[in-house]
Amino acid sequence: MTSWKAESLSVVVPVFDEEANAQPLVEGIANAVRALGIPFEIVVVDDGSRDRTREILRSLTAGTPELVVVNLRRNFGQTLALQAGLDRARGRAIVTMDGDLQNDPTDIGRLLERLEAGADVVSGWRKQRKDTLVLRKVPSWIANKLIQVVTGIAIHDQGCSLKAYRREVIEALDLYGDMHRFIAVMTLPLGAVLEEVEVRHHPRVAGVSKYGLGRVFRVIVDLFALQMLTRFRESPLLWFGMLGAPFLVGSLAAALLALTSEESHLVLPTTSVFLAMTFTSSLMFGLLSELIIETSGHARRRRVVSREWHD
Amino acid sequence: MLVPLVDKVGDLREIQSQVFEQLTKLGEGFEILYMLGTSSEAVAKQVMELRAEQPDRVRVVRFASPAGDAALLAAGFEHARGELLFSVPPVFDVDLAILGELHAALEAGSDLVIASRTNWHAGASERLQSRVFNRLVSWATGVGFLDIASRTRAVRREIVQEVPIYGEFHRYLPMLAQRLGFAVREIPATQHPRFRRAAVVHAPRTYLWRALDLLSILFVSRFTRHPLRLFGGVGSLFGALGVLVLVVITAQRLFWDVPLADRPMLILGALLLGLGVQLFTIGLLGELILFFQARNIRDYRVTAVYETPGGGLPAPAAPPDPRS
Repeated sequence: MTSWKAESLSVVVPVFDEEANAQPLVEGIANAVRALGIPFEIVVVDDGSRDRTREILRSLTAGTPELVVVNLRRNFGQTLALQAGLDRARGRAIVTMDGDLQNDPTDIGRLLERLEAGADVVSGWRKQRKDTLVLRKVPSWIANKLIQVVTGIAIHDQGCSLKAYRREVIEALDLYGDMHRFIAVMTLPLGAVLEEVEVRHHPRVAGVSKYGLGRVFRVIVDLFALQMLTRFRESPLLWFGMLGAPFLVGSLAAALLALTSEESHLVLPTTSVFLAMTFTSSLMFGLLSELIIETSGHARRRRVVSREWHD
Repeated sequence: MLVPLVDKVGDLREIQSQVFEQLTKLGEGFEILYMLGTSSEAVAKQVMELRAEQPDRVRVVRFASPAGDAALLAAGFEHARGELLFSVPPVFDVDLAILGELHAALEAGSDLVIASRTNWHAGASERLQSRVFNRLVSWATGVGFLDIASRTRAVRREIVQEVPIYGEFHRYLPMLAQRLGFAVREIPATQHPRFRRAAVVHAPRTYLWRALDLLSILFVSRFTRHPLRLFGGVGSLFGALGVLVLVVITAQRLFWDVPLADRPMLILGALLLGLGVQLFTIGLLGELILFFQARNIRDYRVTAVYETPGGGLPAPAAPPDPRS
């Protein structure tokens, strides 16, 4: 067992147009976490809501001293709202969840138990999901399968927002674009121990859902980028070299054919030259990647969350 | 406070007196800043004369070498001392009575106000050009503005501190500001009585510049955080075409005995495939840069934090500096 303790806790919740849910949300979290008996804060990020969410949250700070409300200037989307919340969070343990009351704050205690038992990241698994089938469950199922196939990680419910992290993991994490969708997967190359815990899931009682079907293409592209970044960032030159290798083979084959052929054509040598150029540029991209990684100072930062084990 | 630029210069004295008249009506302190980005001695002399007449109101920023609009504007924003910054072109353009309305709009809570010149009865060709350009820009950015090229604008100081201005980007300031969550408004302006119509047909170079500009604004506004979505999509398209061509001609060689070695289609296939791979890898390179710079990028903007003093958790001790 490790000696890591969840000495303090930050609960980070991005919200957007949730005026009906704001008060029960904050009260629910506060009651559930107070029962755990550790110092905590609730960081609610108002992602540019256009309804009364902001005023309601402001008035709630009076009765809940643990509440911290971060207001964004406009609607920046979930990734950035989450990032704003994580940037502000000060706890040793950090829990993220949705602002729509579909996650149950009484599950937080069980997530923290797993963190203290040795996990770095604990992801919620909504085994009994209370959502519409076509719009939410099917795309989510496809996305999870894709992630499993591409990354080789068996994770049932990547899309569940209720997750708990050790602070070290969040500090080592580089989030950009829409990468919040893969936040659990992104922690793995850091050497983090990932666990899944079944959590309760409630149907939406108020407000409207902010997801749609149109994200499948984007998820696939982002997933591909993530896969390349996590798996090949240690040796991009090699990776780009492998990518270009078939072109080199093709180029040599075309050159050989052109040399051995009795008639002289223009087509084969030209093809050979084009293929060779593609190979060369691929290699150049690899070199450029090495340069980018080298100058980013990434190697100097602690990349791997590692710790001693005491059995 | 006001920032006119000096490159193509009209009657500065006349413009200045009208600007003075308008700003005095507002009843606040103001200054006029001339940015001198031209090597013309006549213009410099004219500006220095204006300054000599009212040294407490008129300031001049002079560039050592000729400079473009963006550099001049950026320098002006840097040297200006007011909270509200107006910019006006050094030629007769919109009726300067609009300054009062721009000021009122800023007071009412807008962060950037444009005096748009949409209802002007300019020549048909010019109107068509500007309409096409503005349409293209609003399509590219997903934000609809009627006249982004208008140089008569009023902004709050906060904006120019947060939005980097370089290249031709001063023209896209409204879009960039809106993206960061600032409130942008357009107010229709009337033509200045002494407005002279500019050239209706520009040099081909201007159109090329505009097109490239448009491309860069499209990229900046949509794909800077998702390069693989753009390059990956286009690259896959080319790559797939290339594969299709190669598969067809290989099949023809294998099953129908059509000779392969002397077919120009072979070059086309190889070229398309290579282009596809290159575009795709450019996208990957973009993602790589983003990933390794993610730590330095914060795209959100916080307006206020509500918290109870003494509530929440205390700030943790700063992590040790990795360089030490």
